[in-house]
Amino acid sequence: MQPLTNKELNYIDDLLSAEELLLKTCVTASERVMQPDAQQFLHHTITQHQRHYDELAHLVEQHEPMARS
Amino acid sequence: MQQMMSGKLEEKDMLHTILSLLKQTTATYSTAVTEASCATVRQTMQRLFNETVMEQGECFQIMQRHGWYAQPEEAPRQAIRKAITAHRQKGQEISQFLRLNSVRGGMPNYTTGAYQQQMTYQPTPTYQAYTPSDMSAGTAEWVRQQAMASRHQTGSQHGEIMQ
Repeated sequence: MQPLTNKELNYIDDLLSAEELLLKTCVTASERVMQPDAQQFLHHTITQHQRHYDELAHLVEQHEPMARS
Repeated sequence: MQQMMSGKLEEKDMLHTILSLLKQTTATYSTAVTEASCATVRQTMQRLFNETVMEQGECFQIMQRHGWYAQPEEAPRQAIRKAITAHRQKGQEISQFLRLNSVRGGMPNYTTGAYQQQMTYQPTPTYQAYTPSDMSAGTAEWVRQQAMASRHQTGSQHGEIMQ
């Protein structure tokens, strides 16, 4: 593992926002969608984007000890 | 109709929003993969990219199934035939280019079924795995010539700057 670059950190930041927005949109949609396949799909996406968010956040934490002070 | 009267987004609109967010996110992941320096970051980005692009495909299929996505217009056979003629011609040009640069193999031949055979490309895990003995004499020679040519070019450029 190498220290995180500014570029990587910026992309992780962008992706954290994207995942958050996706998660919130999917939750809102799941409350109103009627079709069973769409329901099931949204159920799956909610879990998936929660995990994506956690993984991205974990990536930053993992690199913290080796960052220059 | 009832949903439209409520003044809220319809089921279809919500799926459209999610589809476009997924497309955007996929594009960001794709750039993040290519811009990563750390192998761990790259692997994570690549995995999340794969999962997001799969999800985007599922979303599209659901929308198509319910007729929430306008069916894209089919390409007419005439246009396909035109593309086939153009890329066959291009393929021959590329083969000639490779022959001129003494690279063995050339372009796959679509008419003889040699295509399938030639496409069995085995990816090598690391660049270190490539040794000069892995290359055909032709390729090695070509690489050497290219290196010489570029060295010559930089040399002359320096010369111009000096003057």
